[in-house]
Amino acid sequence: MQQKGIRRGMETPPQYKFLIVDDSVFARKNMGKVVEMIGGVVAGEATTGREAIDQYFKLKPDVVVMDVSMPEMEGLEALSKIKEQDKDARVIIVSSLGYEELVKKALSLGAKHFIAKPFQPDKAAEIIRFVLKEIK
Amino acid sequence: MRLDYIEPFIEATNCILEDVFKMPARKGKLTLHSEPVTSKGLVVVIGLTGDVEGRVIFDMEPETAVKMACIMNQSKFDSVQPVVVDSIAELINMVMGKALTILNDKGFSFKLTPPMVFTGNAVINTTIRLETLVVPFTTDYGELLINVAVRPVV
Repeated sequence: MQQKGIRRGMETPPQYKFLIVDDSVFARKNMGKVVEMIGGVVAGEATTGREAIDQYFKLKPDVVVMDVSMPEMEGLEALSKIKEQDKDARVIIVSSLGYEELVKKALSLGAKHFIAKPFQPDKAAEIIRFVLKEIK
Repeated sequence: MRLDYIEPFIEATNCILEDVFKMPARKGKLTLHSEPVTSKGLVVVIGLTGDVEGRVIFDMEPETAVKMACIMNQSKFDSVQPVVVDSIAELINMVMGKALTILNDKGFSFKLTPPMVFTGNAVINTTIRLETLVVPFTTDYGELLINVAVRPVV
């Protein structure tokens, strides 16, 4: 008998959990569509860096997609704090600020990739798929 | 007013409008104004700190904001509601982010304050008394005015 979601000789790909962090509803919705496009699931959302840290350790997502400019605590500070406690955390930074110094800082703090806003959904999906490859 | 401070905002607006709406925006004639500024109905104000002080105001009619938000969200909105305000704030964030990227790559160091969105035909009077440069952009959804007032910090 065939089990739900499993075809003979072929397993259903794992559904990766995402945490989307951005203070803009529009931006979160937009990134949510990209996550759905690649077959992932939005496990949670956060609107500040502080909320992102709380949600990360509560939800343990496979990937965090995080904006830089946010109230209370900015994305790079949140990235740094998450990485301090979980060096394996996979965080992708998404920002309209794309100057070299900032990109380098994000990567040096442990970000897996940097997506510049505005992004084309298929390009963002490609970057996320690339980051997900290391899980397999 | 130094044009090398202003040009990145014009370039960024052009670039983001074209990227997001897939259509070119037509830049009109630049004019110099003095504050206060009368709004067209919906304004986004962003402050600048760092090597310069000042602010950039994006001004448009509510109908323009609604039309832009409809395109951005691929949804239908009839009035300025929270999702419209949020979408326009994010659009302006992208413009400012792009402008700051250009300025930072040129060696200037700037920071942004979070965007503040106001609606109504109020008179905008910011604390910094500066001469302002107004740049109109014509889009398929209406006119967008960028009002830039910056000066170097001495």
